[in-house]
Amino acid sequence: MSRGIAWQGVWTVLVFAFILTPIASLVFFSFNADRFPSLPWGGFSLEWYRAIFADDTVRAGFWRSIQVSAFVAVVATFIGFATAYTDYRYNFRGKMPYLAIAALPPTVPVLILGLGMLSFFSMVNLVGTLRAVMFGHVVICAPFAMALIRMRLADMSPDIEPAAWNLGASRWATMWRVTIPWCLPSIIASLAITAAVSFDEFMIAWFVSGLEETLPVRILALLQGQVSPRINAIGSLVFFISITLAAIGQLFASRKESTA
Amino acid sequence: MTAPILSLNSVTKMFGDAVALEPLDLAVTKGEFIALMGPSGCGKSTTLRMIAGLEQPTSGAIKLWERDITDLPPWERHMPMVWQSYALFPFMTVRQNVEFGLKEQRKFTAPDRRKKAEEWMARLEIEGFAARPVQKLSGGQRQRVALARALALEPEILLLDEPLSALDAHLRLQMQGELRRLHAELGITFVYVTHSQSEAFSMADRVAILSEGKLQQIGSAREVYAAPANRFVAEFVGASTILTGTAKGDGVIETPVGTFHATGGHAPSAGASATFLVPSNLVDLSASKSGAANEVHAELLTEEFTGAFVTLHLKLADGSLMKVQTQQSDLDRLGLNVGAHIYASWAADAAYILEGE
Amino acid sequence: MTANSKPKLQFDRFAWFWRAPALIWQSAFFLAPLALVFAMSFWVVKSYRLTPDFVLKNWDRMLTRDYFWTAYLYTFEVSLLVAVLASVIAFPAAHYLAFKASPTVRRWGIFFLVTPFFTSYLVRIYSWKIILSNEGVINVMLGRLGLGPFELLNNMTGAVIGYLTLCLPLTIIIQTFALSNVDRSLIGAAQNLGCSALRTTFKVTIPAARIGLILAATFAFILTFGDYVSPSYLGGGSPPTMSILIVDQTKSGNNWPRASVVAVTMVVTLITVLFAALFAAYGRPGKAQ
Repeated sequence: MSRGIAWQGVWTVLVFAFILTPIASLVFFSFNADRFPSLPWGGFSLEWYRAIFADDTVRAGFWRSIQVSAFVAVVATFIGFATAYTDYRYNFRGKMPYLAIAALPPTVPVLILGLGMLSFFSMVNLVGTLRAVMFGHVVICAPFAMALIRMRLADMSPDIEPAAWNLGASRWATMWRVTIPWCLPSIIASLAITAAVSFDEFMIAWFVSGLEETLPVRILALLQGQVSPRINAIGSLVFFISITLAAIGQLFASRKESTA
Repeated sequence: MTAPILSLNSVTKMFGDAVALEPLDLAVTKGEFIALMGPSGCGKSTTLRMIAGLEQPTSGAIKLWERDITDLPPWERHMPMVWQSYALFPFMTVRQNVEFGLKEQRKFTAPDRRKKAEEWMARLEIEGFAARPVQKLSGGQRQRVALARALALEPEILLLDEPLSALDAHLRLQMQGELRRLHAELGITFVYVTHSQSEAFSMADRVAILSEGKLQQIGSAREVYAAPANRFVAEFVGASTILTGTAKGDGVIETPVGTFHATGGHAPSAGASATFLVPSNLVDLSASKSGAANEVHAELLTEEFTGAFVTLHLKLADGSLMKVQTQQSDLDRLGLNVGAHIYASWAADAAYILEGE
Repeated sequence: MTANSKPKLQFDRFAWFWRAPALIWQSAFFLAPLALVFAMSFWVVKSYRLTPDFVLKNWDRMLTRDYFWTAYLYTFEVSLLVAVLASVIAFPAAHYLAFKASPTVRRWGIFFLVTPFFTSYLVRIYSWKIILSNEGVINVMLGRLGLGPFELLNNMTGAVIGYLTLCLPLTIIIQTFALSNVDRSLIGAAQNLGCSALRTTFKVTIPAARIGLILAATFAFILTFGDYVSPSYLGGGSPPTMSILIVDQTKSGNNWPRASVVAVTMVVTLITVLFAALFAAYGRPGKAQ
């Protein structure tokens, strides 16, 4: 039996290795002095990092991505919270279709969303603006926020809000003093995760950002050209930021305080 | 006669097509301790929630003194509730919980609020945990915090929704005593929901018994016990044997296990079917036929020793069961064992005839 | 506690404040764009301008072209392949995480699965492009052993590696979740009756986790079906997938109506697949619970 388990364990390690290889390779070679990332190792160097920090287009793209992520994190989390709360507290005619619309975006291929948004935004003259990217990203990020916060609300005892109302707190006061504090870990997790998703998103950005390229769009442009070691550096940087955000998100999402 | 502090006028509640509460009229006097009791699903919790404003009546009106509050939202009703699940705010300390309602009232400054909270925490003997997060408290301690939180608002009416059901038996008895004491000291009106007959009887001035959405009887515990309105109440209140037969006029009732005289309660006409109760504690036992007027022959099935007395379950000739409460000393004197044959008898005026069937 | 325990105000501002955001936002920026794509499939491009119309010309053009159907079939086949491949590769790992790993190992495992989910897919594909190239790490190492070089790029192998990079984390997570929820007593009972570990897995565990396993495969299918990056950068773009057709028609061909036709076809296919999967997962009561 233990032979079987060992075999399974090895398989699992191999699968994880497959998943993590591209990331490891990226970080590894971003410090490689050689132009082309391969063996043998060419020596340690920070040249490529210096190069990207000096590159204006990369810096501009980075800054734009930060702006977009910040906006998206806040708006998507707000919408996600509102939808999760509506699902938690209310029953109404049309609730099913309502939730379906709110939860559907991740199931539609991003490419098609990109096409649709390109057409839509071009009709309202928003193509080529960061606003278009922001609005589009909120569409795909809000469902994540909704799921995270809905799970947290599910853990809140059903008597808690009525108890607050009963003690004299109006619904707004209850929301502010009871519900939101309870949801705070998930709200923070949502902010982090939605920021991460937006920061990495390239398809919608590629379609609608025009010349206002976000960082992933810049990467896409570089990708179409020659192999450039700069991409390793950019990629590692992007990876580092995303993993930090994702780790924060996971940390807060798994906080479990028991209900009273 | 002064107006009742709280009145329900023909209040009904339907959930879709299901009737949760049939038209209920209830008048609560200021300062009384009234218990709404009944089995699960009888509508007692629904009624309490409607009083609190957490459910809307389908029809009817709820009045506070003379004021119609049916459409008033819960946060404006000033009738704090003590919840079965305690419903303490999990991310706050004891003090923050107790001060919660006070903070909403806006008529206290922070120091005043703190003082008032301390006052009530002291009264409920929880001042020692003021700074402790409520997660770390035991059930009994949480119960007290829930009470302090509600009472800190110094309301006219306190609502309690089965607050003691989650406690163990010993704590429950202790808390019953404390609640009675608090009620007497504070003079507040208590509206208390429970499914436990013993709880309601030991604490309340009046009890209202509900079943399947309908009010069965309302009155003091003694009234309800001595003169139950119908079979359901008699069975719920519990300490009687119920026998059914045909009335022969003049208080004579013929049953499958014998013909008896019953003078308490109603007087059914001859030929009508009649049901009467024999209170368990008014039954005499003897090893042999004593020749008394109302006597049955029975077989001893089980004994339940509850400390203060022993409850015996006897099987009568037609298979029906009879409950008898007696002292251990009597049992010893009779030298009875399970399976023994025994004779049970009672006085005619001890038996109480129920209305209808 | 059921809702509507609030007094019914004429217009419940509080309720609508929380209900409206998703409604407004998703209608404007999700439903409207999708509806537009659908509508556009009937529009025309007159002298380089997109004009609203109602013609079936675009549909006719695309659906009668061989390259459309080649792309469609190829996309469908490769998605099916990846769905199966990902499910099979994921299963032993998911099984290990669900049953054999300690809670700490499981938590770290999930962490390492969830994180790539939120890191740039694009960047990871670029990384693979380098690793798989003829001068890349793999071929260099194989070269030292006297093997290769193997063409790992610009063919289906490369594309599949990319697709797996996309799907595997999610597939493993869903499978692990489904397997963790299998009633342990069922497994215990089977083993008590003398079933070997392998047999137990096939006869008890898999049927019990059926819903989650089907869902995992379905998501892998959906993700692969719609992906653009792997087939273009690792697969060489030939034969083209539906996604490549869309990008071509949009970016190079500037024929948004034709792109829309492809898009609508994709959406219809995916919805059908989703419903079929849900039916397969939930539609037969009485089978393994």
